[in-house]
Amino acid sequence: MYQLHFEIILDYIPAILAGLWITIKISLLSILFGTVIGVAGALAKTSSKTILVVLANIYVEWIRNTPLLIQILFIYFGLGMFFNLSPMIASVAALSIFSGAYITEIIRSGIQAVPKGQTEAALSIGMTEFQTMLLVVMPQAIRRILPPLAGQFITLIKDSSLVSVIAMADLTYVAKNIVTNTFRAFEVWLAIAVFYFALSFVLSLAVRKLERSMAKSD
Amino acid sequence: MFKKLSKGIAIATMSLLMALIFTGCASNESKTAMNAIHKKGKIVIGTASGYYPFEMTDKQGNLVGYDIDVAKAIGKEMGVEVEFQNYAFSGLIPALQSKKVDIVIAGMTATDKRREVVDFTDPYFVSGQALLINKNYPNVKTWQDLDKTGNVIAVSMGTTADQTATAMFKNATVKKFEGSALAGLELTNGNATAVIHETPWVAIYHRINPDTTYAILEPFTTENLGIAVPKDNPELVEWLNKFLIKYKQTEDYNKAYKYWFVDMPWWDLVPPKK
Amino acid sequence: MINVVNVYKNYSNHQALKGVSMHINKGEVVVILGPSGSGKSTLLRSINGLEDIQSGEIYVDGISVHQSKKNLYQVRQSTGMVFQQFNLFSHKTVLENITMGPIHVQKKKRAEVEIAARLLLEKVGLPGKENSYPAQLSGGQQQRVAIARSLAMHPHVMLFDEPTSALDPELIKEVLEVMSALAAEGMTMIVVTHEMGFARKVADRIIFMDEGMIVEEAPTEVFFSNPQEDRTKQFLSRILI
Repeated sequence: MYQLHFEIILDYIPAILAGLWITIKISLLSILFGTVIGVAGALAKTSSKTILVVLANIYVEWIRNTPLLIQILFIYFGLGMFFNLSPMIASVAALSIFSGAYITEIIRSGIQAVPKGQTEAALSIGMTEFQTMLLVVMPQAIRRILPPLAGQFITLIKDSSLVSVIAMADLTYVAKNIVTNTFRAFEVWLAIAVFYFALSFVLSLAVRKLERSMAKSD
Repeated sequence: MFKKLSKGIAIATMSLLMALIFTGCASNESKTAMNAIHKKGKIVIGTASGYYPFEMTDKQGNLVGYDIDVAKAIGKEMGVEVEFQNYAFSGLIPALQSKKVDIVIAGMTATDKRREVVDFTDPYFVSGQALLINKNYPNVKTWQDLDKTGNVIAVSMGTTADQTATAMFKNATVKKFEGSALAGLELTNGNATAVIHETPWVAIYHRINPDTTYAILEPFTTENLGIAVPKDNPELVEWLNKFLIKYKQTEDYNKAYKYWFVDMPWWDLVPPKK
Repeated sequence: MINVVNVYKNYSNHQALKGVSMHINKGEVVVILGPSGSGKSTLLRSINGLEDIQSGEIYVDGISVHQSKKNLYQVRQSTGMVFQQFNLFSHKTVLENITMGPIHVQKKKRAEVEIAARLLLEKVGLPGKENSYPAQLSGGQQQRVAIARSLAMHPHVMLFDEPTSALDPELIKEVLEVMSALAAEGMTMIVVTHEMGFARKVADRIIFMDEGMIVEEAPTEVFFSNPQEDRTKQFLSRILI
């Protein structure tokens, strides 16, 4: 008969914290690169050059319609046949490319939410399209972008658990290891879920604070 | 604020419920596993495809292998249908613990650690861990030669190879993958120095990848493979042990052994693991 | 100064301008009247390239508006546009709104630009509002800042696209007063508006448009007292009390 022994988890706290750190690190790097990709994608999607719009659309649709797990396996084991990719590089690459597609949409809709009149006024005083984007549109888009962007970061933390399949020592990998060593699937998985929950929850509180302070300055 | 509280309550309630469910399980033990199987009319067998030649999938997607034949023989002797459930190796014991499967036949070694949570039959096969080595690392004769900083040893998570490697290697890094296929892929991609797994698997994987690997087949551990059974089912263990003794003397057993380990005509039926 | 030659412009399902030609001289104040959908705004927005055209030519100070990007940027510096919805940069202060153009487009130094900006604010009747944000101002105040913003670029001609149509009635006068003062100083202006009083008092010439074409144009008094075309007569009879 199965008896619960939550205390065994205490023995593994150092390993769990190490895994947690890897999860945070991968997620942070990926959201950063993902945002860079997202800005590029959004600019491409809103540009007047058809070729850029088409390429951006292909990228976004491809990523959004394939599972993240497949993307990770493809990059590490597939591309890994031709290039030397460490699990860290492959993880960050996969998660960046993945989140980049969603961030493209977030930034694009942020840009398009800025009233057209702002762009027209900027152009009318002689600004170039680049200056208009940099000085007038983007600053106003950012306030609309930050909340969903932060939400994407939180989602990414949860999605990052998939990198455990390429033996990236994140929180989920550590958990799998503990389960195979102790056979205490219930206690371990519940505890790990609590760790992910705590991480996500704290971040979402910060996001809510951010949203409130932005609403105030409206 | 309210949301925070309600989320906390949700978790606490969930945990409490789960705990109660498990303690409540005690009252169900009066029904033995054997009776349950006969009542169902089928025996659910957990396995982890990918360990050749014990369990593999053929080109049509059907499970085949030495273990599969044993499983089918068990079903025949018991007079019930056989249903297979394919798990990642590391998920087999949890599946047994949570009664998702009745028994596990998966080339699984009967270790003391595993015996803490499940029971095993007497050994139905004896094998040992062997070494599959990346050709870029020549002149390896023993596992000690591999134990150098910077070397990567790939293993299948949860197997005795995993436990052996983790315990033995002090300098090399051990990387665990879901399944020996991914561990082998890591090696052929050039990202691992060696894979540790049981002799039959190493022999076959080397045969598939002669250009990138070489093998040291001499086992450096002894692995007694047993059928795993949930705890507190002594009558099931006894039945299986009796069955195994009988089975080893049948014509079916001889044919199976010859087929899977000696002649290996199945070689062409199973797609290469690339 | 501004030459519009036989311009045609289509949207996907309808023709907005059908062979429009007009000439604006330096120092002239021209008001364009007409029902909605007549193409008056489209014409105005074609002059500073906010709308493209399918055929014809538009020249500002001799430079073709639609031929090259480089020319377009230059044209936009010598034309100032005031919009019905003001379109002030909502994330910038009043002062920043006015100084952005000279600093980033004309590459002038911030110090001298800010001095000029404050003078402009006084000119439009808003001294002391430098650090306010557009959202803190009334509609009439915002529009006057918008005028200052355009004037900061020292344009040769000011284009007004229904500048008072979105204002509360009580706020219209303050904007019209600024525009009248501007006209009195000799600024070349093209104004699309419904404010007949302003048109009669300040305009040198009236252009009347309907259905994408110029129906009639004449010096102001001639236009109002002796319209020639039936359509013009019909329009005037309906709008003048």
